[in-house]
Amino acid sequence: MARAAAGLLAAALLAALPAAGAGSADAERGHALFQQCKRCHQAGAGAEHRIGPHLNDVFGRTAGSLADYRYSAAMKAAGAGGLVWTGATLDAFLADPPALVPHSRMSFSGMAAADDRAALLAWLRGFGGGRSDLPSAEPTATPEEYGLDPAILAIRGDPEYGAYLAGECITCHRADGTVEGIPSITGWPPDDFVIALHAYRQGKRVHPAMQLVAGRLSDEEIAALAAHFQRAEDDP
Amino acid sequence: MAEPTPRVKLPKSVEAGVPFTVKTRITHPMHTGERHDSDGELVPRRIINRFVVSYGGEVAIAVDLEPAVSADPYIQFEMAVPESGLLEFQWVDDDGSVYSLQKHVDVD
Amino acid sequence: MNKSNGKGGLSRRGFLASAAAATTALSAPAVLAEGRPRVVVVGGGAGGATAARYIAKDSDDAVDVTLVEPSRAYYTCFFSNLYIGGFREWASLGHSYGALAANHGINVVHDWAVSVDRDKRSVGLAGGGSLAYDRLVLSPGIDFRDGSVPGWDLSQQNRMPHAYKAGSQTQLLRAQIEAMPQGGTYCMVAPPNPFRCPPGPYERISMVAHVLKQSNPTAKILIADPKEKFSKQGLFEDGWQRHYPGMIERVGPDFGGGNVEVRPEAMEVVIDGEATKVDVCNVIPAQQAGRIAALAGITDESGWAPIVPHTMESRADANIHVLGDAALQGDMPKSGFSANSQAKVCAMAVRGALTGSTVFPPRFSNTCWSLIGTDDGVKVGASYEATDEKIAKIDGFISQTGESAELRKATYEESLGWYAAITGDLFG
Repeated sequence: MARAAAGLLAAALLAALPAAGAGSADAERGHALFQQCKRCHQAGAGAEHRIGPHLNDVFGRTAGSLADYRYSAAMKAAGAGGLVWTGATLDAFLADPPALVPHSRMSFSGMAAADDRAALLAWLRGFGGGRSDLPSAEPTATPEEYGLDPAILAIRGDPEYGAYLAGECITCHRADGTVEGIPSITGWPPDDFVIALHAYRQGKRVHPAMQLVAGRLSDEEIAALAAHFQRAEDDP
Repeated sequence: MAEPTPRVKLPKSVEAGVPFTVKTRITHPMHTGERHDSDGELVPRRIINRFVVSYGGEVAIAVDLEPAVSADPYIQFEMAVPESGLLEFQWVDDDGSVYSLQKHVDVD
Repeated sequence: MNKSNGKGGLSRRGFLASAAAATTALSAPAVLAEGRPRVVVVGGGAGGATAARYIAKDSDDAVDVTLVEPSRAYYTCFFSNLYIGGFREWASLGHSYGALAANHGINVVHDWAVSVDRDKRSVGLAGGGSLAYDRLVLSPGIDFRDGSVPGWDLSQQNRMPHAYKAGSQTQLLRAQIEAMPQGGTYCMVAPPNPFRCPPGPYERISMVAHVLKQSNPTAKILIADPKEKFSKQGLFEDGWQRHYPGMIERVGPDFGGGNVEVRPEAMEVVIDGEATKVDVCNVIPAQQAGRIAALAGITDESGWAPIVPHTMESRADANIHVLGDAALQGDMPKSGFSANSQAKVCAMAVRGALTGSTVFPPRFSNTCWSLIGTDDGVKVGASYEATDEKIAKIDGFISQTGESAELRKATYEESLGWYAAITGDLFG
């Protein structure tokens, strides 16, 4: 399945970049590197905003400019200040996100190797040009990955309870959504939030503090937190 | 490195001929000669290779130490003395240094 | 869900009725005349600032909150060791109370609380005047026990600093370490349990060693310690051997570390009867609850203030809550993280009692990060629950020896993120 998709992408890349030395960029490697991004981002046919905005047609896009994604104030300000995503600016952002856009919600410490960044960006270029024949977007996280009963995702959390429970979270995760050594958890789609906490509770995502915290949360409490944290910090 | 510091703990007083516990320790990194430092350089062997305790000028206990002994070697033993006297403790370093400490043992 | 404690479910009307009934017996109905219930918080550190902020923020002006704190700028004790180690600028540890007043309408009074009249429910201030309260939150931190280290008292703190309340003492200690002669000796007299920040003295040792390794590599570090064991001991001792081999000697009770006297004039430390000349002597005395807790009459013979875990109420007075280091609460370590966690439970209980807002089950957690060397961070954490008897540990985790350099670096970077988050949660 993955191999077939990669083949399609390589073809897309060749078509999109006939003169850009597509053969030198390893699209399959770019796709593999994208696994670091896919917990938050989607690209491809049907791609939606999840924890992060979708990445179709990102080249040439002004930073923070998609009307239906709730960007951090920092990202919107960067766009207003003239930041446009090009090969060069995306490369700089991937290398060290806060160096280019301080206080954004992008929870990624950076991709150190220039050839990794080049491969990832070459792969992402295949999702440009408003193409209609893109492969389907891969989901950010699915309940099936963790054997979650769909009924768990259907629980409607109590945001007031979530606001109280969140007190335990924001001792470490900044309430203003800024990333600094610890990921941002504001403005998340509730499904992604619920799946992430269940993944910690099951020990399938590994972090001792998060496994401890999630291990004590009931399904209802996780839903309450998800209801609370779907707000972004500057939502009314 | 800092000069090694020897330390000895004796009971405040002992009875003639009755065994008592002696605790000793010296600060020393006990480099085995097989480990690398953070720059990847091999740290040369440097250990305390011998420990000797004398009572009244006679050797009471002598121990040869090997590189496997951990840092800050701690040695505890029991001994008995017939009367008050001077205990002398010596630790011998690979580089030839000898660190000494003297303690008076008081028999009631 | 709001049955977690006896007070929590009380409606605002219920509270007013009971307070009005009380006024027939007591003579201080001052609060009711004002209309809004009043909360006075004493101490603007991790416990007090959090409690004040959460009560004000979450009650939508229904509660009048006054924070009493003598300092205009608060310097965090947590991370102050990193200043000593040169990893942190002093200014980065300072925080103002401006946002608490501006964003949340908290009345910040820069004064010392010097008395508590529990019958009249009022707090006396050093500058004269008093503050009436319906609920009093005491988060006064620690004070030192007189005579715990023979030869040392507060009058000697400039010769032998404690540096265990962040401020000029911290800066003094760093200056003394920098001025040590080559090959000199830094000595720490470590405190007995219980004390603020259990890994704190040993993180400090790591930071002092880090500085001396660069500027004074033949210097020695001597710890006189009355305790058999200490927090994260295996992690610290492993790190000390890796980063600072041969530099650090800890004299525990087996070698007389519990039998210590200091001679500030001579700059000597006497361990088990043997005097050693030292160049810097960092005396961290035995501790007890900040003085105002004893003045309020809510401490026991231990010197700390017993509390009811579900609400952080004093066991001696249901109108007083005690947070953080000063509280005798059970299993939580005395840390800024713990105080922040307890303050949120307290804030919810206080709001519930005064305004009838929903009271959810209490939750407590703590994580303590420590830095051993450059990019070598470790952590220990646990979650806790309220039982009738105490705040009881449920489960926990601790870093392991032999972890990869990448994980240790990530742990350190995580601690930087925590610092930014918790200080925002306190003062934002």
